[in-house]
Amino acid sequence: MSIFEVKGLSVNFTTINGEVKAVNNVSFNIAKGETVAIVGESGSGKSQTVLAALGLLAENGHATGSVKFEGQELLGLEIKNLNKIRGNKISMVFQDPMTSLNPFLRISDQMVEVLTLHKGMNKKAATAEAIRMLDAVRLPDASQVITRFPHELSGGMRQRVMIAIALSCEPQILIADEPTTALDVTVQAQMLELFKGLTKDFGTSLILITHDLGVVAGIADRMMVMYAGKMVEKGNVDETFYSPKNPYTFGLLHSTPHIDDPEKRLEPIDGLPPSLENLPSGCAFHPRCAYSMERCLIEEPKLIVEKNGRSNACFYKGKLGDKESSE
Amino acid sequence: MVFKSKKIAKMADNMAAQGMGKSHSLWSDARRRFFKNKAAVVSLIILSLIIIFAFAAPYFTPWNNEEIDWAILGSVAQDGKPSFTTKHYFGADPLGRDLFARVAQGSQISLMVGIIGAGIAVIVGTLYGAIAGYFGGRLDNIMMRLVDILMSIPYMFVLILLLVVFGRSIEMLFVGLGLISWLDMSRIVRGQTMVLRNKEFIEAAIAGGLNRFTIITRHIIPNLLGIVIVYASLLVPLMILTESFISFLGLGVQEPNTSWGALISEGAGQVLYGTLWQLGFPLFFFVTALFSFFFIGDGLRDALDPKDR
Amino acid sequence: MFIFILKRIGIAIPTLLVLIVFSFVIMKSAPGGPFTSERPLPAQVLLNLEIKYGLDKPYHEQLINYVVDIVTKFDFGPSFRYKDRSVNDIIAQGFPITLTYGIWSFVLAVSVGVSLGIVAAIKHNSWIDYTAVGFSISAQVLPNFVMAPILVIIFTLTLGWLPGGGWNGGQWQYLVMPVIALSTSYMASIARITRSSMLEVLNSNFIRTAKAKGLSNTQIIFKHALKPALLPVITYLGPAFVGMITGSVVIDMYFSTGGIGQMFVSSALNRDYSVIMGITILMGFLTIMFNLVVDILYAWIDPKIRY
Repeated sequence: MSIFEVKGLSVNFTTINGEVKAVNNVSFNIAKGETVAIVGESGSGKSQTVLAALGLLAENGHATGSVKFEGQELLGLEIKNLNKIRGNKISMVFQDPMTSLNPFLRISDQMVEVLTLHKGMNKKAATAEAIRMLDAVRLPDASQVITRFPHELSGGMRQRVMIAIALSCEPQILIADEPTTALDVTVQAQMLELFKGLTKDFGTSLILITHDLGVVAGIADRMMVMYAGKMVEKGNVDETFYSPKNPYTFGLLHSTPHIDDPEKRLEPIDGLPPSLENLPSGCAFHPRCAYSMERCLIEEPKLIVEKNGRSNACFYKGKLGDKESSE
Repeated sequence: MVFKSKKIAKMADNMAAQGMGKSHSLWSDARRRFFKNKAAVVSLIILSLIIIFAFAAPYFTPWNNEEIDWAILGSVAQDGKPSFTTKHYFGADPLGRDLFARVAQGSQISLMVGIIGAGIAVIVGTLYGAIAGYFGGRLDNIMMRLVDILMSIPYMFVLILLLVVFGRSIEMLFVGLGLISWLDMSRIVRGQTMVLRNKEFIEAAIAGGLNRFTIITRHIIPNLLGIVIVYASLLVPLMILTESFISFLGLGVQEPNTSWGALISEGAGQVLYGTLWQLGFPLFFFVTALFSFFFIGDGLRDALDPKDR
Repeated sequence: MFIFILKRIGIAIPTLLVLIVFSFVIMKSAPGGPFTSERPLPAQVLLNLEIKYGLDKPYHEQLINYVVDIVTKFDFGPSFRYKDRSVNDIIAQGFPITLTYGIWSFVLAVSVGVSLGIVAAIKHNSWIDYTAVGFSISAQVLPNFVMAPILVIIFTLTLGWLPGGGWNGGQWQYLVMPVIALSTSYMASIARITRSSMLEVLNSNFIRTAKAKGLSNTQIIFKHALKPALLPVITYLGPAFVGMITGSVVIDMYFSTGGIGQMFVSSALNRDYSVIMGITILMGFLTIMFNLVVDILYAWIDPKIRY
């Protein structure tokens, strides 16, 4: 049973140069306890998708479509009611731990406010609970750390604090937007272990937004690949990694170093992601695609459901990988 | 103004990052952006008209700024109204002198004060800031601490003290204004210089064996041009404001010379007699000119700051 | 924190000394002595006067005496024009008046400016926002000496509601126009600074975090956004204070309120050096003290400043 359903979600931004479509007709479901990764380059709309779901878009952005949590429509929900869900049933960990904590408030203030708000705890109980949460995210010296200001903590510590805040109300869904990007590699590994353990312990669904396929392989059950605001491939992680169907996914996988096969040559995807203000005609990926056909220039491929719950949006139905090797 | 200078300091960083002044296309880009800014262009036109008025108006009136119209003296409130028949287009001042000619003369002085005051600030502030920023270390520390100290002194009182002691003259006014106005400029320039000092082309110049003075004058200062222009354009109205303030108190320009501040003061003193034109005309020029300068300054900042869009 | 305050005081004291020495030097380099007038005094009278005021001693001794008197007795010496009055008397007469409308102006400028800026930022791109922006741009060109006559035209000449000047023990009718004239341009600047810094803060990542936590707008603004948004305003308070102190001169002149500014200008025109110096130093002292308070306030709010 899915607890989170996104249907036909689009996000537009009004800019000086006109409307920009950051997310274009995206749909997906998430089941309880499941870990789903949304993968894409920067600007692919993966962050905006989840920000829109929680009503956190920038002032000039607006979302259309439907986002349902436990059957309740979130888009257009009154702020008062949305606030009962945000930080309580759905919470979010942001990309940059350096700027996502308020530099003017002690860690304790920033943790306690969530617990008093959603759990109705008094300050003392909330503080004790906050310390317990910091312990749970394996932050050493929690009772000390909680009295500090953010700038007195390292990046890894701050990210743990962020996670502790997000988890403090035992949410059904945790959304993590590039949670490891700003961290050292060793800390990254620790964070992923932490996520894995936490989803298991709390039965939380995790939506992981990342451009790092290594992270996806290590933790996610399913993955969704986005390009230029659209969903191009969806599927089970193992199968998608083993036999990607979309040329873009294929390109992503082959531009990532593999620990199993260090000798393998990396194949970067040619060109740059397109500007959202000026998308190519037809399939947005066609200028960079090794398999593009006449049709790709004119027509947009639709996301078509295939067997085993996999979906793909591409006209090319042949085997991927031949073209590169023939070069 | 602290706010402004902070914003400018931020912009200085942006500009340094972009290597402003290195490329001609950046300048032509800036020009294009400036002329796309309607408020700035309109302000530029209005300001040009004011300048033309200041220097051309004396040729269009039979009266000069010192001459007293004996015909209306004593009944200025009734007969000194703006009128074409008496050829007092802006009316007459309390002494029966032609306000049109006096406003023109006051405009000349006020504009001159603004431009020369800002000019002194540019020269002194740029050199001071560039030297402090380039050499850094102890020298920088001492120079900037001095600026800190000077900045926390209520300069208007010191300025008035200077004017009282050394006599009220326009030259003294320039010296006084110049003495205080360079402080902000030197801070901004110093910050910018410290950024520039670490750039490759400066290292290349050092490696090429140029002496420090040449490096500062040939390589650092030209690259400060953008930020200096913007800040100077904001300093001009500030200088005009300061001068007007002092002249309003009767401590600035002396008769028969006048300025917007002195004219406003004169007009404001007569308000209760109902001769509102004596306040209205100088006030109109003062307010319009200041508005224009501020919009031009904003336009320049937007044009020269590549990030703020 | 204590060491931080000590350090700041360590900067404040030399600043004040520089100001004293600077004004002393300027005064001494004035052409002609304080008793030079159209009718030259007999040499003996002049000498007696100089002995009486200690002006026969070497400059450095005079300077030291002057500083010592100020520091130990808070005594700025006698007036050179009014034989029976000391500088302290003159200051004591005018200062309470200046202080009264000065405090009102400052409080009004800060409270209205900050509130207006916050409301404008919260209601970004609404009519309130546009009004606030329009007001703060217009007020840039409405310094006190422009505001004062405009107010008189409106409230005294046209409406006849308020007296055009005077003090009358500080009754509210006499207070309104000085306070508005003095505070308007600073109110506008404070509103503009608050608005833009509030907008910047509201777009920051940590405010997004606060929203994601489910906090209400009130909680977000007052608990999370206010402190960081006020920092630039606090920085501006120093210059605003100086501006108002300076502006009080115009207010006193135009409204004949009898404050310290009026005495400053009249003694400037009379060349009553000791009064000018006394007032300059007093204002300098106030400014420096105020900056000290602002620095401490800043450090107290911003946890990133290490003392």
